[in-house]
Amino acid sequence: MIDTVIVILVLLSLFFSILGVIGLFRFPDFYTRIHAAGLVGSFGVLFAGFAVLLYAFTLWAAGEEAWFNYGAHVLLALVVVVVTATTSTHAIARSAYRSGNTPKVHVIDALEEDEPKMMAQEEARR
Amino acid sequence: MKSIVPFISATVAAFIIYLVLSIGSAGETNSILLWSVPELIIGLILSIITGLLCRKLWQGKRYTMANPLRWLLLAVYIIPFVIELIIANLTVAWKILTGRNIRPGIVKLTPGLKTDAGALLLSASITFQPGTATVDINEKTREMYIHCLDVGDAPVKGMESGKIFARLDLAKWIRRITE
Repeated sequence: MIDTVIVILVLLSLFFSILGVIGLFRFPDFYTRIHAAGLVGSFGVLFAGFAVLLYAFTLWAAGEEAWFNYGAHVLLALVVVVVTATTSTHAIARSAYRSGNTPKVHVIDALEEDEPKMMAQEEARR
Repeated sequence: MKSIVPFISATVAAFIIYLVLSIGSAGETNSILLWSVPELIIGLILSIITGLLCRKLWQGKRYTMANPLRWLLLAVYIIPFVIELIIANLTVAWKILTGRNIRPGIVKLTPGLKTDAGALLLSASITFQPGTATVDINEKTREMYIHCLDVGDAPVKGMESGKIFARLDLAKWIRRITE
């Protein structure tokens, strides 16, 4: 029973990861592709992590000692992935915009006129 | 003397992470709870070195987040965050499956947060949700420039902080936590 749930969780993780990769090819420009990659970084990773957590729970229920190895490490890995995925996405997007790679396909762009002002502000503070 | 608080907090954080990583190292003899004594000693030495290295990185002046009640609220914040995360994931998945029904754009968000911690939490929450990503942030006024996969039917440059999320206003939650 619980094995079936674990398999379903892994399949869900796989499903969202595949969708993310399809989105990478399907979306038109850099910034929209970030969102497709975000799908892999959020649900793709989270469901895989939950599958291992559930597996650790079955080990604990069976009375085996190895459960905290699985559980603690995966919990830490999930926290680290959430923090680093967020930070790196922001870093990539910000550096892309500042190096002149503005979005090709867009309805509105609020950053267009404010960008030089902000860069001047930061230059003055340095 | 000034750098004693950052030294202690960095050491404690490093030691906790070391404890999590080395869990289950207890042997037959010479062990405390789940850890063996040599592992604990090495971990303590390494985390003190980490604390010494990190003590200069601290620039904070406010101690509002030192209140344990706020950390409890931060743990409760996971619930609305996950609800928003599910909606955002399904929306983006649907957009990928059905094709090019996307209206990307960068909007300006003025959340009116008073603390750096709040701005960090809000921009991190926005970035982790697929479909929205913080491109840039004005450090003085804490205005965020956010790239959205779908800016809506009637796009305006300045967007209210509640409209960026599908159902729940996470900015309101963050104001409750950090201020």
